[in-house]
Amino acid sequence: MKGIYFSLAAVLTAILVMICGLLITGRTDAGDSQKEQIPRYHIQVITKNANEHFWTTFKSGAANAGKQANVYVEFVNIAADSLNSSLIALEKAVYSGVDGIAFQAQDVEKTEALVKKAQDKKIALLTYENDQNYLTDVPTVGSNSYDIGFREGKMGIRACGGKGRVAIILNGNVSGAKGQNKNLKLQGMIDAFSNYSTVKVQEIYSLGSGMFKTEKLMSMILAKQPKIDLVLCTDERSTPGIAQVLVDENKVGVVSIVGYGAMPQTLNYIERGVIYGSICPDAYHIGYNCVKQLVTILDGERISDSINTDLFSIDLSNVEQYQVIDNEKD
Amino acid sequence: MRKIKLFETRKMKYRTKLILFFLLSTSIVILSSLYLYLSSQIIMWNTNEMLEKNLELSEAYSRLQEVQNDLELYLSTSSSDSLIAFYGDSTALNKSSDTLLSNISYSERGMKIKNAANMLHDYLNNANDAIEKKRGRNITAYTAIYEETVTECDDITNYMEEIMSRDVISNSSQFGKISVQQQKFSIINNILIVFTVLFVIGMIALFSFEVTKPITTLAGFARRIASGDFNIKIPQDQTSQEMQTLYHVFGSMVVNIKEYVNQIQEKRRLEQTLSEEKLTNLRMKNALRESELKALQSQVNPHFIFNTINIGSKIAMLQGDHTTCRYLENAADIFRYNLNGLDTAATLEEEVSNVVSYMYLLQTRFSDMIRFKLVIDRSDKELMGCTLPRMTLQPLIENAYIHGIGCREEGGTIGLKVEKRDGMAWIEVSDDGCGISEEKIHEILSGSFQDESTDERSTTGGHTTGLGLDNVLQRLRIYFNKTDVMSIKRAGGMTRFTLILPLRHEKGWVHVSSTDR
Repeated sequence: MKGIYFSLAAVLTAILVMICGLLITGRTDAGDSQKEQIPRYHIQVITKNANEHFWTTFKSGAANAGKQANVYVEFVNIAADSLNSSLIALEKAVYSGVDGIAFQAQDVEKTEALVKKAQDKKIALLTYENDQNYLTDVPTVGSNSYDIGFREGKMGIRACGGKGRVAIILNGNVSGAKGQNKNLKLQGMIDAFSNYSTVKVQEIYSLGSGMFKTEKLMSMILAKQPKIDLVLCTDERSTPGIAQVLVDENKVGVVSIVGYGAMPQTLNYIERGVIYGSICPDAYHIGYNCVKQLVTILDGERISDSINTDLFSIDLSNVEQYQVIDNEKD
Repeated sequence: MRKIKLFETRKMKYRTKLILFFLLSTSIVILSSLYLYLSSQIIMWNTNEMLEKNLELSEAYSRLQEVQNDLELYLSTSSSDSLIAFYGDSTALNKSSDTLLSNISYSERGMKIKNAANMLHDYLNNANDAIEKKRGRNITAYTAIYEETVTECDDITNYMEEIMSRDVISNSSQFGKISVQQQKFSIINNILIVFTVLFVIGMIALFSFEVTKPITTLAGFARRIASGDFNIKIPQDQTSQEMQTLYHVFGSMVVNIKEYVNQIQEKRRLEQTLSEEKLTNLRMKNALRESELKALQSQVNPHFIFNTINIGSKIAMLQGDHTTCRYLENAADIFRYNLNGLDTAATLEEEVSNVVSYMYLLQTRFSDMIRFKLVIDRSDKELMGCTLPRMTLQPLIENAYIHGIGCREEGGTIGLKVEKRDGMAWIEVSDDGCGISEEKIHEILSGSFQDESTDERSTTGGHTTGLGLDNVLQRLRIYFNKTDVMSIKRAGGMTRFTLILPLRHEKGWVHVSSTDR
């Protein structure tokens, strides 16, 4: 008799649990679920729509800063190297009346008009990785382009043993005002080589924004400059592509590569000795500081106009450690 | 460790058990139905939510185009109709954007809705500015603002389309989830329905069996008892309070019935014994009455005869006829002895004296044909004082005379020997007459013997007392409450009737001395 009651009670409990589970988990997430806390500010960060390691790490840092400061961080992805998209995104952000915007200014003149509108609406503004397109009264966070070039040059000298022929690959169009920061990188490299007369820059190439350009360009360099000893690349996504061409052409050990960024493929090539090393901006802290500094401005405090973040030199000696750090940040 | 019991079903009442079972079963059915209802409701809620979530956004999107058209129309035509339409549509758009803002959530989509709503507010401000400048005829200003509203309208439109496009993608994903959920619910519901039906039916069957089991068992016991089998042990039932009581009471009832039946059987046995005793008494009384009747038949008026004979003896004594006197005295003694009644006891000495008187009459009558030999120790007071039914020895002597020596021409000797042996009184009446067959001995001792001398008085010539051997034997057996009071033997030409009687007998009839009369 007792068994009957226990069975009934057990089934009753099971159905009750099923009903509770149904009520708790039955409602499907409509993608519009409420956050637990009402955020203090709404900050829009205009980023590139790219899977590059820099951007993923940057977004991770910004998101963590937003969580810590109870700020809603909205990432607006725009097409890479699209000036118009960048301006439209900034314009929309201003019309949206968000509390703060972090962006990269690519056209100073057009951007300044929007900056004025934003300032009229008391929207906090901040640029990042933007040291060459300086906007008046808009603070910036990021690494110094000249430093990037200089450190890349120094690493290149170590890679080729202080002598050799160098090919430099810069991302985007080098000429004109749009390529100011790239010019600064180039300037840094030239300055680094200035003390080494045995290092000769053979050619400077510029990567277009299209896909598969890297392989084509690198094949062309190797064809035109068969005695090249060192390739310096300032584009993150192109660095592993250049290494792959060297592998394909059986030039590993003949031509050294110093790249940019810390994509997993790049780190893998460094570990395998295909790429000598890479200069990497601290993307996590750039993103983190963007949000943190905007929150500081919104809280009514003043911040420095320019906040520099670290640069990392990654080579075979420390690539493993960097991979661990990188994984922790992710 | 003390065991904590949630509830003890054995102590529960039947009503509580039934209520609890039906409550639990009904609850299972109700909750299963509730689960089915909720699952369908959730599917409906999710579907509605999916379809309704961008209604407001679509409404705002449509209004925006209308407001922009109204603005352009008014700025180009300055018509009051377009102005009225603008105000109407802009008010509706403002309301839509307010609704969007009031419902925002801090999610990715929510923040985009917020951005869109803020952009709409900004756009409406600019549009109103443009209207105001137009009405103020500030051509440069309204043209510039209009340019800005066009850009802004495009931006907002793109932005909303982007949100709606994401909603479409999200809805596809959402629809997929709802579809999967619906299939899952469908499977779970089907299983739940089947399980609930089977489980509840199973539980009802099991519960019914468990509830009726003790009653069925009890009914089995009742059937056994009804068939007369009281040798059953009723076990203690622990299923419920009522059953415990019922089993306990039933057990007690069985024990009581068993005891009652035993008592009835004992009583019946006692009644049977009593009836037998009563029957024996009746037989005894019947024998006595028969004896009395026969005595009365033979003694028309014993007192008169006794007095007559007694006076006769006195007359004979006065006339000097001593033989006649003695004869009549002995006859008077016999009558007087008989007057005391057969239902009284007499001592052995009195019985022997009566026999001596009787033998004197016979010897006087038949002179030397009959010889009487008496062996007795009259000094033994215990032997002489032992009691026995009155008129016990005289019929035996009479029997020896009639059936023994009576059939012999030359006569014979009748012997009476009284002695104490092994604490018993041995009284032997013997004769050397014609003897007795074994068959007759058996008939006499078994009580089936019919004494002809008592029935056919005429054949005996009127010298009997009318009491037969069977009468004597019955009275002795009743008096001493034992059957082996007499033995009959025929050996060496002698027939011996031997009475073996206890010297002391507590239960006895009233002893009346011959001198009491």
